[in-house]
Amino acid sequence: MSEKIDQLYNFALLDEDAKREIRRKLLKAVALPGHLVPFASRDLPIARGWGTGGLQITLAIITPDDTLKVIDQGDDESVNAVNLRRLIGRTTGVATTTDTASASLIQTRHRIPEEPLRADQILVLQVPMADPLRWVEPNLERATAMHSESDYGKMWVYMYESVVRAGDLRIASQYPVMVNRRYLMDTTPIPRWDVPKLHMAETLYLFGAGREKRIYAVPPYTLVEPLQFEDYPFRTEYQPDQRCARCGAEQVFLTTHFVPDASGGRWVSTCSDAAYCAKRLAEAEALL
Amino acid sequence: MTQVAAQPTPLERFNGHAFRVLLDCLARPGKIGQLPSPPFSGAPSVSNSKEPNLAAVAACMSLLDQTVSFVQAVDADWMAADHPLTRWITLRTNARAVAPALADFALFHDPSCLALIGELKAGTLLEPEHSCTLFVCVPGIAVDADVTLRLTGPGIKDVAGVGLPGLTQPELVALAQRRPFPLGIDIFVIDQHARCLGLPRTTQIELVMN
Ligand SMILES: [Zn+2]
Repeated sequence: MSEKIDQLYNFALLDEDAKREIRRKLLKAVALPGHLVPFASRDLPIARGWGTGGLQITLAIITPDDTLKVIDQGDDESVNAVNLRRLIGRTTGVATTTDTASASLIQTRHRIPEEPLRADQILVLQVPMADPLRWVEPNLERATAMHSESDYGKMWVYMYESVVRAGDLRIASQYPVMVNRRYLMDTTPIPRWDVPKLHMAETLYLFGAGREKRIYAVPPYTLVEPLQFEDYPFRTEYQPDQRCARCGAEQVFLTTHFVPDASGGRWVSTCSDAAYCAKRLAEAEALL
Repeated sequence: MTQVAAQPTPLERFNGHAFRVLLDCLARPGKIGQLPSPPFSGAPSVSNSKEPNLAAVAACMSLLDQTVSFVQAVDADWMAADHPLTRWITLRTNARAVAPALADFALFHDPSCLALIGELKAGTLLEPEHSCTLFVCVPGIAVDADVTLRLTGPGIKDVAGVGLPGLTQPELVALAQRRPFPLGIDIFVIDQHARCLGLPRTTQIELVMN
């Protein structure tokens, strides 16, 4: 690589002013758990829909000492994850890993890793839709006013009507939670299986929504309580008889895919967290 | 992997490292962080008898640019916009020196300035993030002995204890006074050894009487 190319980009791509703005907003987000903090959201040289909100947070906070892990749909090797890891790696020179335990900074979409995260790790989530009130109030200004007053009556009614009475599970896959008993927060796009991991966690969670230009956070040891009803308690996707077809794990979030074979094929469920599954398989092999 | 970007300059490296310490301290009130050494020196004196706490000045400056404003205080009084240290900071960050009620950032050079904390902006219900972030310089922060503050709230597992030796009772009372959430001031307390304590507005602060 020539000298010329070496000087093409800033460290971590963003200029210092952009990083500083995001850093200031992140501090406010941590001080206001679950509150959506507007930020400028820069254009980045990657396609839309790649989660530029999360990427901007990662680029604003990453230091040369970090070890980075990037996952998409739970998988380090998905096309998006590989491309983002390469982009961040090439513009920072930081070490990268697929091992959750070895990472200091984890950027993710859809999943929180199965292995418990520690206090010395930060998880950055890419978020497509930040405001849970979009279900009942599409106007962002009016939704902001509702958040400011903790005016969530409409949301409770909507939840009850749609989920409990009509059995509509769309919202159940983007489960709204109350953070620190003050702000309603969307958990999109993580599955319900991961929602309890936000509650009284060891780790700091940072969320970035690039299109909606919002940053928010759940600090460690913060109350994160799903909206639920006596006759419809919060439940994860867990099934009592579920099991990963590869590593045999039971207490995990599974994805199901079709595996063709001579007789046509069958549906197989495996760990969504691919690195976790691989680690378990390697550990099992080491015992033999 | 081929790198296509420059390595950070010493100042960028400091800003990035300092931010991670500030973020960690604010996310975990009661945890004492260690700020990195400032990549510069030669800041003007605060007053005839006082040199600035350079770690605190540099940490505050790491968040300043032309889009935000700041104010400083020493000996329980606001510093003028033409104070040499104010001009020094403005020159290096392009941040505007403004009246206390407008300031996005405040730098208190000693704990006596805590008497002024009520003049800083605490945000609004619609925009609680439009509140002041305050850096307070103190002589020392003690973790084990002489607990003066008992902290509870988000980021704290059960309860955290810290000591701020040398602060008077009125100073501690002013520090402990919180506004009704979500309004509030987010505070970084920084001592002479560049140790940092974060007190976000969510932290309830109880004074421990010795
Ligand atoms: Zn598995």
